[in-house]
Amino acid sequence: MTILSRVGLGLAVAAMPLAVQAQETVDGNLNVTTTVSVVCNAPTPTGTLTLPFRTGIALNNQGLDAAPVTVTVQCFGNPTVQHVDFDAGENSTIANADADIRYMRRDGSIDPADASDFLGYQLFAIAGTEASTSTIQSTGTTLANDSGAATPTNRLTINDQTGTFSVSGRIFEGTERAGAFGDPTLTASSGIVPAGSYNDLVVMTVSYSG
Amino acid sequence: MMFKHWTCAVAATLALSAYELQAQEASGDLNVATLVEVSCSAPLANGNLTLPFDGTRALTNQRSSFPVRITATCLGGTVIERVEFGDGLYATTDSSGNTFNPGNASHEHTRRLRGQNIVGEHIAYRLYTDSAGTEVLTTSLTGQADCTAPAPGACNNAFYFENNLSEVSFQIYGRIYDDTGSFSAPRDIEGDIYNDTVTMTLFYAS
Repeated sequence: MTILSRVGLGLAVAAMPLAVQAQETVDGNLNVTTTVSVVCNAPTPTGTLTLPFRTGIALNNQGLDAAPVTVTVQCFGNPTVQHVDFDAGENSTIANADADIRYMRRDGSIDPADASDFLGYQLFAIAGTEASTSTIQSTGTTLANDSGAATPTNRLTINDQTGTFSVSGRIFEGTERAGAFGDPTLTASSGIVPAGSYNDLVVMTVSYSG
Repeated sequence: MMFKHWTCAVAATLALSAYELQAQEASGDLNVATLVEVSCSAPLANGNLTLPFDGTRALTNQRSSFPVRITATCLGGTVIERVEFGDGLYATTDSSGNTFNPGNASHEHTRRLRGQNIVGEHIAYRLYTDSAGTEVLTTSLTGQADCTAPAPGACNNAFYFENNLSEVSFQIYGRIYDDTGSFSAPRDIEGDIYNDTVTMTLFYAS
């Protein structure tokens, strides 16, 4: 009995090195994830839209700016840029304002009721990059400021994955405002405009789907 | 006489008792046994490996993720040799703009995440064993150098262990790395949540 036990132990010891060689496996999972957000940055214009003003030309017949401003909308997540809405600017509520145009205000003006401190202008825009201001005016969208309308005319439709568009403009007044420059269809109207620097700020809001 | 008889009788009794004691001796074996089973837990990550995505950076220059810690424990004197990382679920697929062009020499060592909402959109990524992003955990698809580094016979889609460890803990990093040419720019990647699952296989000797 004792001898048999010793033999058994000897076999067990001999078998151990073989068992160590056996290789087994067990599996687990590593979950990997990332999120690509759909987002567009604020529209970035290449500069200020500077509108020419010439005396001796009626206010309803002023020329277009020399070069359009290109506005870039940088998006991520490959959305479709649907449209851009242009707000009415900072001076759309002045007395006798024309609903289809915006107004710049003369720097240094104090009395907001002084109609002659505000000078009307029009905006035109077109999707993509367009160097010709006349093309933008003739084939683009004239941006009025009826944002509340069922079919708003302050909207530039894009519907493209590239959100670049071009904006042009001109000084323009079509109807006479009390206390301003008289009949804007007359050449003399431009001579009444007080000298100075006029400015406005228009907010552009981009809508996109992702 | 009477005394002699007694003596004989006692002697006989003693002799008999001695004989009986010798006859009752016997030996037997008591077998005592236990079984210590060999077992290992599945490799366990302490969370998802979340890869950062920055649309302003090139797809081959994205930032590395925070690490995920992976642990495994074996019992029974088992020695852990390595943890191998599988190819993930979509290594043989490619982005929508580059379908049926799985891993090859031009974009080796990449696994792929799949958009959970957009069918066919995949982004390639890499797994690393270091935060600097230099030690790549390859895939088996490339057929290149997978099992010649870090040493002949060893595969570099695995994390190896020395010193006969029965309990291991290590970190894995990852980052988006897409050189498949499927996207002309990072902003072209569709917005979505992208996922993959990589099988980690623990190899141990019992």
